[in-house]
Amino acid sequence: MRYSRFLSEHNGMNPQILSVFYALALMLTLATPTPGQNWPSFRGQNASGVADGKPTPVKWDAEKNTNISWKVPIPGLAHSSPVVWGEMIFVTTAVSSDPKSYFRHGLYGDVDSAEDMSRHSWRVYCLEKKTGKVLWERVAHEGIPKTKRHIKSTFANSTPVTDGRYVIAFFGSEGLYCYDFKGNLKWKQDLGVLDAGWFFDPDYQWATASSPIIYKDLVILQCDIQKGSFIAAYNMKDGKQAWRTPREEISSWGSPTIVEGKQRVEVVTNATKAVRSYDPMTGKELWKLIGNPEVTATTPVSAHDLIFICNSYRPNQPIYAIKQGIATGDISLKDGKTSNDFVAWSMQRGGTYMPTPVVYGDYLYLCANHGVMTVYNAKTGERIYQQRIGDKGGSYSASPIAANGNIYLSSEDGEIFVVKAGSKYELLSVNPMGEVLMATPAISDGMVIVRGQKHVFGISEKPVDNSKSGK
Amino acid sequence: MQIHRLLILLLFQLIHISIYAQNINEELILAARKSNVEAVKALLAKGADVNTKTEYGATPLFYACDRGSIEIVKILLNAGADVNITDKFYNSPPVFWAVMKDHGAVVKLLLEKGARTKESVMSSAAGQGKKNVVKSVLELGGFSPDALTAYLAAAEKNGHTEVAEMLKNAGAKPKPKVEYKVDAETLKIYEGVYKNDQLEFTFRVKDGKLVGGPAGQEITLVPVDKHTFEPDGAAGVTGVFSVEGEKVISLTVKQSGGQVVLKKVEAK
Repeated sequence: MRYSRFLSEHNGMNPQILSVFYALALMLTLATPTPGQNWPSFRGQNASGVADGKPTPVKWDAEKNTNISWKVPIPGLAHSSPVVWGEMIFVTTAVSSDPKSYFRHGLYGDVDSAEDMSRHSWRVYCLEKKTGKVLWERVAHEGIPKTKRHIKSTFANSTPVTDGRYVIAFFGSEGLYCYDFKGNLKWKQDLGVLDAGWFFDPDYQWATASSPIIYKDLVILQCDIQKGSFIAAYNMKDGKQAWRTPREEISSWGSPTIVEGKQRVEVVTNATKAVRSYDPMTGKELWKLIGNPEVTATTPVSAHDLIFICNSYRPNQPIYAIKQGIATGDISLKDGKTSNDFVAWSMQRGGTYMPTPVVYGDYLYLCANHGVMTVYNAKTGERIYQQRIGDKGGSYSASPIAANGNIYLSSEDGEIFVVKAGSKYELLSVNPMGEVLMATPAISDGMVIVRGQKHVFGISEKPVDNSKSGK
Repeated sequence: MQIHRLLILLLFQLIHISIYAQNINEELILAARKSNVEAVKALLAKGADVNTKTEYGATPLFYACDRGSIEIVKILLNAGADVNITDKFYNSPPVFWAVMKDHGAVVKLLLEKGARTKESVMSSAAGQGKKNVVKSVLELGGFSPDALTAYLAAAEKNGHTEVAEMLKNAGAKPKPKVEYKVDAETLKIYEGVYKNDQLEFTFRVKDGKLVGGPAGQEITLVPVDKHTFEPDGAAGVTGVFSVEGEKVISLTVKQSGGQVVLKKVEAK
């Protein structure tokens, strides 16, 4: 009413008519998408990992501050990725009270849990995209972690998710939290102890990593743990459970993906016992595909009316391309078969362990943990090429993403390789970040937003006004 | 009617016994996991199966070895635990779980009780720099100077200086580094794809050296003789090419007493 009074005083109009105009204007504001390219969840919209339409930087150097718009320190340890809505970026972290707390990156096969079980603070940060300035910071929870984590893991592995109204942060055993864009806590859910770890010996706890997703007004969580695995949906408005479906699963670390097919919408999950699909509104299982290895960490992706699943552990390293929207029941392949009515193509070798693949144009790009990129024809499974990234060795946990004709690959050793998309390998640049990279970057409006071990970076070829930088 | 009733009663008894056995076996595995000595003793006394297995084929001995609980290892071995059983997932015996965690005393005890083999244990421990295991296994003695020298090479290759010193003190002689030369024309015959059901290696000559390995890897193979190569940076592994006439037939990769053969794929 103060707004309408202001207008009437200045325009001589009837305050009642003005208040109607004001209400209409407000409705229009709410209904209009926020300006800016959103990257609302792990790997962006429906985990696609693609953000086209804007020129996106190819060359930068964080060590020399070239093409770095801003750089903001974030305390603690986290492998969660940044998400973006409009002009806001959200990141999560877990801050240990032990100053020596660390994770060990690199290629190794140790199953050990980290020793740090000191008091932690689980936090959510909101940054301004243009400057990196911290707009708000909230402590979601404080306490002793309820499980241990893997020595390479953190207590903030799950990427937050937003629908433009609320941001949801998931901290595994430490709960699910919903904030509005001003940082007000709307609700929280305690899901109990979610103990994910080594299948062979459950005393080796590794912590959870699956990220929440949003479909309509539901937050969907995949919780694959040592005992009592489940997938569940919670109402965005109050956090109450809408449905919960038990899963006969051991621990897994991939995130569920919404697949919006021509025939139906489904939630697809990757895990050890089976790849499964569910009705997102009810949690009813639609189909399952058996044939995965004993540890699974990647997230399903969809394109070309297919759903792609990659894994790599013992005893197999499968890649499955499953037809969208038509499968029902058990669609597992019979012994020796590579396709059936529902599986367009598959192979039992060549899948990846940690990085989720990206489909860009006609091709499926895989990045193996040891830094070898393999490119397939997404529709047929024909191998196009295989190349060690940058002719270097190394360790890769972050997933490849794509924008503006290029593929972005982040190595744990702190370099981002930009490779031209297409049928031939062409390395365009190697970009030093100066710190360990575990999280998958986000891309929004041509800005690459990178979460390193210590900082979040905004990278754009034409740096914005650095006087407003949050560094 | 009475016979039917008796049969049903018998069936219930059998189910009850089966559930009881399953429960105390699971409890035994849990007690081994938690290093609970008294519980292990009590459960064995109640009749728990010392070689009971998880779905992955691990027995209580695996967990005792991993935790380094020598008292429980002794109890299990005395109760008849199979010292050379392998799990069905990693296909590894209990002694290697103790090696991984550098539990020297446990490894020594297992070897004394017949775990196989002291040579493969030493090769693995030296290459991984497991000081306690190397120290304990050296106490068992019986290694030839050549074997000790091979372990030394594995330790030095991976930069485990403390282990290297132990091995030198035990009689290992560092070999002077002599690089065998293989001319480029000979190297060319090794180029190509080698595969079996599980593995596929590709090799090519690059800058006068044979390089390659599993998909996308470029490991340099250092010649030891005309047909034998060692991957640079991979201790204790050798690759031997089998040649018939002028044609390369296969590659045999040897490591810690085990080996795999990959046949050369004929170029189309």
